[in-house]
Formats: sequence, C-alpha cells, structure tokens
Amino acid sequence: MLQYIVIGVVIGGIYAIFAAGLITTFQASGILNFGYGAIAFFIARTYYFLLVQHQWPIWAAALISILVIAPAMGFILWAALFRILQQATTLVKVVATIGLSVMLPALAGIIYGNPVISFSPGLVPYPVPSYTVLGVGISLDQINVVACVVLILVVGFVVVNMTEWGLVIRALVDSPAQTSLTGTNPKVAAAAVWTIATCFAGLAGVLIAPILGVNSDNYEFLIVAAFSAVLLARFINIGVAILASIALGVVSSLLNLWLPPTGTVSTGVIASVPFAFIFIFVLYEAVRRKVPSNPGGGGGALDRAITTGGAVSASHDKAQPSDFNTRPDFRLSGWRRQKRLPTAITALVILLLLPVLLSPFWTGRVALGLAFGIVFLSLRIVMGEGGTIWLCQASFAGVGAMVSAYLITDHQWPLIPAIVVAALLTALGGSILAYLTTRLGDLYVALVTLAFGILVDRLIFTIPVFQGSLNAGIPLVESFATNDTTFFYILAGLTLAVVLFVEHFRQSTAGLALSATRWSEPSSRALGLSVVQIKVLAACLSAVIAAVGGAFIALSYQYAVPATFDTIGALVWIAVFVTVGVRSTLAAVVAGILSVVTPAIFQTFFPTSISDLPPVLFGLGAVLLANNPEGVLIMHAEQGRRLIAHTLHAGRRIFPTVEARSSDVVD
Amino acid sequence: MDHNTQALQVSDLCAGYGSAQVLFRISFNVEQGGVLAILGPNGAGKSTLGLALAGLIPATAGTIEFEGARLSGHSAHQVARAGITYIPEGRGIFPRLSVDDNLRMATRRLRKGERRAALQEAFENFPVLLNRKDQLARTLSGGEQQMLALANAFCTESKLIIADELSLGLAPMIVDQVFATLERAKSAGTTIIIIEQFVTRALALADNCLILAHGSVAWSGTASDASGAAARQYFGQGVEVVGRRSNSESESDVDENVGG
Repeated sequence: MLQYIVIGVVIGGIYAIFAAGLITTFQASGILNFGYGAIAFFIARTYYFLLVQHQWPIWAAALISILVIAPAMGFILWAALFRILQQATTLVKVVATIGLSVMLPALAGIIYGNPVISFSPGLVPYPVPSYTVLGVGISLDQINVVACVVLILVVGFVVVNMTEWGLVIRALVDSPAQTSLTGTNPKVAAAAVWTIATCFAGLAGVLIAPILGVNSDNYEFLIVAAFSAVLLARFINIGVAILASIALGVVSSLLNLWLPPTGTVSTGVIASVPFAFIFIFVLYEAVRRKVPSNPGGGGGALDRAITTGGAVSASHDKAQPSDFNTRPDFRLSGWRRQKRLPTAITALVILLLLPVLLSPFWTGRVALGLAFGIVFLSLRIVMGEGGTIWLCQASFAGVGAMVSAYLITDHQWPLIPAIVVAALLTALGGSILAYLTTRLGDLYVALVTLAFGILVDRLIFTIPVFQGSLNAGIPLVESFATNDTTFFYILAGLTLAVVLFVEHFRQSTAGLALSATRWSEPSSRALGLSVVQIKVLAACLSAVIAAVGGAFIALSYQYAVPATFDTIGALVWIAVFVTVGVRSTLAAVVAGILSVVTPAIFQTFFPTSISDLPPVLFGLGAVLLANNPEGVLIMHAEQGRRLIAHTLHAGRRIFPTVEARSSDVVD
Repeated sequence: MDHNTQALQVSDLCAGYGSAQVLFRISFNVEQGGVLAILGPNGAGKSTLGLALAGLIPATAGTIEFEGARLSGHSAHQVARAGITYIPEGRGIFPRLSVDDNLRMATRRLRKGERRAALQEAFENFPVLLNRKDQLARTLSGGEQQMLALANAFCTESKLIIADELSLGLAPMIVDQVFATLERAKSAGTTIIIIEQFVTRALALADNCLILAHGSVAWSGTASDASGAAARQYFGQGVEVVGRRSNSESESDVDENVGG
C-alpha cells in the first residue's frame, strides 16, 4: 500500500506544480490557461530534443529549456496574448488558450520532429538510482518531483509573503488598477508572474516525462486533472490546491490497488477520478450556492470599471458579459442582409458542382467535411448563439456515431431509426447537462462540460461493446448510397437541411429568446423568459445535431471508433470553428470542410515535415480570436465590404451624383 | 491666466470606454493648493473624469498638464509617480492585503528611511488603523476602509489628491472625519479635486466648482456662486449646458480659469 501512496504523492506532486502555476496566473490576470499543459509539453519536448536528439548534458538541456526557453516563452506569450486577453470575456479567454493547446504541440512537431516518445529521461542520468525507504522503493526521479513541490512551496511562501516583490504580486492579484495607482507598473509584475508560471510548467513537464513519456495528450489530461485541484482551492489558495493535488494523486493510485487489476472498466474509473471530481464538485457548488458566478481573479471593481465592457458586466449576474463580440448581431447590417442570400446560393452551387470538378478521393474528403460541418452547426447554436462554452460536443457526436454503429452492425437496425435512437440519447444527455449547468458561470460551464466529455471518453466509450472498429458504413452504402458521389449529395442535402433549420431557429422566437438570455439573463427573466427552458432547448437541439453529424462522420469513415471523438483531441474542432467564425452559419460549414480538407491538402501536396501546420494555423486562429472575436471569415468579409465600399466611394468622389450623396448619408 | 499658479490644466479632454465616448471637451484649471469640487448628477461623467485624470482610461483627445508637464497619454503608474493620488469610488484599497501591506504598497516608492517615517506618521494621523495593522483591509468597516484609503494618499505626500465619492455609503459621523481629513490636507497646501454627490459638504470645502452634465461642463465658477443660483438652476430646473460638443461656439462661454 505504501508503494501506491508514494506513486500517488508523485503524480499528485505534478498536479500540484501545475495547479500552483494555474492559480498564480489566474489570480494575476483572470485567465485560466487551458494551454498550460501544451506549454509544459513544449518545454519537455525541447528538453528531450536537446538531451536525447542532440546529446546535450542534463544540466545544459535543463538550464536552456527550463530557465531560458520557458521564461522567454512565458514572456512572449504574455506580451502577445495574455496581456490582451486580460480584458476579454471568459469565452474568448477559454477559446484562445484552447487555441494555444492545439497550436503548441503541433508547432513542437514541426520544430523538433514527430517521433513517438514513450520514455524520456528526467533530470537524473540513466540508470536512475533507486532507494528503499521503509521497505518502499523510490527512484531519484520520484524524489525529484517531491523535492520540487516542497521547494516551490517553501520558496513560493517566502517570496510571496516576506519580500517586496511578493507584496507587489499580492497587490497585483488583488487589483492591477489599484497597483498602478501606487506608482507601480502592473504590467512588469504581470509579465513576471507569467514568466515564472511558465517556468513551473516547464519544470513539471520535464519531471513528468520519465513517468508518462513526452505525449501531448497526456500533458493535456494532466492539466485538466489539475483543474480539479484548482477548483477545490476556489482558484485562490495555492496551499489547498497542493494538498488537493496530492490527495487526488493518492486516491487514484490507491484505486489501482483496490480495483481489479485488469479490465477496461477499472482503467476507466481510475483515470476518471479527477474529472469525476470536477463534475461532482461544481454541481455540488451549484446546488449549495444556487448561483455561483465566475470566480474572481484579474482584479476587483475598479479593474472592471475601466474595461470596455465594465458597464455591461456590472449589470450582469455573471462576472463578465458572455460573448465573443461586444455587440449583438441579430440585427445584421444592411449590406450583410442584402448579400446573404446570393452568397448562400453561390456557396451551394459551388458545393453541388464539387463532385463533377473533383476526384472521388477529394469528393469523399469534402463529404466528410460536411459531416464535421453538421457537428459545427450544433456548436453554432450552443456557442455561437447561446454564448456558452460547451466543450463536450465531440462526446455527443461520438455517442451518435458509436450507438448508431452499434445498433446497425450488432442488431441490424436500419440506418435512420438507429440514428434517431442515438440522437434521442444525446438529447437526453444534453438536456440534463444544460439543466445542471444553467446557473453556472461561463468558466464553470467550460470545466464541467470538459470533465463530462472526458468522463464519457473514459467510462462510456471504454465499455466493451464500443471497443474496436465497428463497421458502420455498409448498411447505408448498400441501401441508398451506392457510391461516393451519391453519399456526397445525401450529405450535402442533409447539411443544407441543418443549415436551414439552424437559421430558422435563430430567427424564431426561441432563437431570439436565446440571444436575449445570452446578453442579459436578469433582463430576460424580467421579460418573463425562462432561462432554464431556453438553454435546455438549445442544448437539446445542439446535442441532436451533433449526434447526427457524428453518425455521418462514422459513415464517411466506414467505421466508428471512440478515438475519432476524443474530447481532448476534439479541442481542435473548437479551434477551427472559432477561427473561421463562431457567429456565422455558413462559417460553421466552411469550418467543417476546412477541418478535413486542409490536413488532407498538407498530407498530399506538402512535405511530411510540415504536415502539422494545419493544427498550428487553427490554433493560431483561435489565439488571434483575442483580437478578432468574430473569426476570420467574418473579418475578411468585413474587410472586403470596406474595400468595396471604399472603391465605390472613391468612384462616387470622381463622379458625384445626387443618389451617391444620399446613399452616403444613409450609410 | 497665470500658468505659474496652476497645478492642473485640462484642455478639451475627451475620454470614454472603448467606442463609447463619455467626456466631451472638458476644460478647467486647478490652482496650486486649491480645492475644486466636481459635481453633477448620476451619469454626468464625474467618475470617468477622475479615471481619465488618473490615467486609468486613455484620453482620446485634449491635454492634461500637471505642474507644466504633459500627463495625457501617460499610464496610471506614471501619473501616480508625478505626485497625483487618485482615490477611486468604492475605497482605494487592496481588500485582500493587510492594513500594513496596504500602507507598504502606498509608500514603496519612498526611500527606506522615508518609508518608515511615512508609515509611522500614517498610524499617528489615523490611530484607528494602528490597532488593525495586521487585519485584512476588506474586514475593516466602511469608514475604516476609507480612512485607510486616505492614509494611503497622505503618507506619500501627494501633490494632488483626486477623491472620488469619498463619503459614499458612510455614516454622517464618518463623513465628518473624512472631510476633516481633507481640510487638514488643504491646510497643508495639497491641491485637491473632490468628486462628490454631497453638494453642500463639497462646496464648503472647495474654492471652485465644476458642474458636469452629459459628459460636458455645464457650469463652472467659484464655490460660493455654485451654492447659489447655478446649483439651484442645475439641480432644480435643469441646466443650460454650456460648451456642449454640438455647439462649439458656446465653448468660449465656459470659464476655463476655474482655479483662478
């Protein structure tokens, strides 16, 4: 048992270092960094690159990666991203840092190469010495982890509580604006906090490498697990977070001892502990406190008062306005309204001509892209219209795929009833989740839905019936889709139907009500709208659409496997979706096609060394959301509109007419 | 206008939040050692003016000069280093720091010896804080928090104090103490801008007065005049706004030399 406790303390120690970094940066800027695991991975990969690929000595590789590249990266990220994000809404903060989590691993792949690294040396030369304490074997790598946690605790406590620098950091955490009123530049202090926190990430990344290997997904899982400790510490208390981290590590480790040693269920349960904890804790808080708002961080009332959205947030029952944009878009500008129909018709004609213009391979890729487009259309409702950070959409798509595939192959159900049953299941799941999270602040919703998605991955998709490759495509191909072109047109028709449905929903009374609740829940309640009903309806519709999209993704692939719908892996979906444009229905379809076609183009026409470029671009797009909250499609459309308007205006200046002048006035 | 006696000169100041402009071409001066009361109804832009003067929100147009040096375009910490202390509406303190830490933050730009003396003086001037030295600021009463905010301002020997709604939410007795403290600062020669809704108290302390309405200067003049006809006109029957953005010609009507 003691052996398991030691392993638990080591894993918990890693959680603790992550949690300390997450809390410090959250308190200093109000940003919960979903990209923290990716940063840790990047530094660990750099360390491996120097140590193993270039045979540097351990001290030099550690010095350069943890004490040079990590702080430099922290400073650059602060200057280029976090500094700007500080003023953004929770949605933009979450999505931009998710973009970072998508971008950095892919960037590491391009820079350092993409070998599978299942083992990496830590800070100790191989063979790692091992010691026996009280009959328990402890390796020097494990001792290093515990020593680093103790060091961070002691040094952190001394610096924060007993030095002038610590005083400034505590003041900054309390209120950056008030700090500046004392003559202290808060930006210098914030940059220092982010720089030090990135060093923590690098250190944790290097320490965990011998245990988990250098694999970006493992790092991402660790960081989500660390979120549970951050939650227990209520985003404030580093000491509580460290204790909670170690407790979580020990509990997970002891479950290894107590549960049957073999079986996917045991593995799933053990791996689910931190995520189950997030789920249960937040829901408990919701029930206990009735309306838990977003946690504090990034300053107080004065800081909110001087932000652009200060007036809005003051009147909101959440801490911040919940939107990508600072203005509602349901009143489209005249230009957009007039041009929407021709744009849609042009897009449709081009789409329908694609099977004629493209080879069967590319037609198949676009068809798969349309299936992804349907899933993104589901995000369009819940995120684009509802303004909720919903990170478990891949799970709904996965349930749609896995359940329909199971019914079709194992029970010989026809395609449509199988999809209907799968959609009904997701509708139920989506409604319950929406009901439980309606009263939560944006950040909590993001964490709960992420934890829910991971729980589905670990507990539902690990059930034996869902394991292995299920052949889901054959019944459809045999019945009415005899070739790729027919399948393409069926998907195009289905996508068009979903687009029309989403547009109809947006403009319906329910859609307007959803918009209203997004902008102000108190005002919506004052109007007599039921916020719970509206949010549940939106989540239910969204889950159904995601399930249908998921089933067609499986049909496109001809098989359904859980890995396609992995919640962490699907964060790239969010990145693509927001990069192209979260608030445009057409953009959702374009995002779906781009998410499939872009990687295929890179794999087909470009050298392997840059095949990781699409995730970098998608991640970068999500990161750039900090500056362009509406996404690139809307941004370029707007730029095009301005260019046309400018050109026309220039023409009118040369040949002024009465009509031109009057239209200028209207414009 | 005698520039030598002017501590603060504000000309055509425009400011707001993002694309929402709140202040429209505000102009006024404050003389060295003078007290200017800025009055106006809710939403007039008083606090926004305070934030803009403190550098917490950027001036989109116009200039702010303090003791001859241009401050517009400077960030808040640079404004503070120039000797201007802004006490924001709703307590200018760090709620999660102790009283002692609050004062240490306020004095951290002083030299070691000066700092020790300043802290000692702060506790002498505000003895209530000495007993609460190790207590978190957020656990103090409203009046004590405001005393701490004032102590923060006084222990740095500010040249100009901008006090925004100091009396907000305080009991009358505490308001008396707050104004007594401001009187002391005035006697010591500190220039003061007081943003208040307690009109009579503010005017009793002030030499001059500026009344804002809809983000523009609605009236300006001496405090004694403000307590008479102008104030009655403004708060009673509405005010004829002078110097509005839409009427550039009438801007000359604004008495720019409030301090003088």
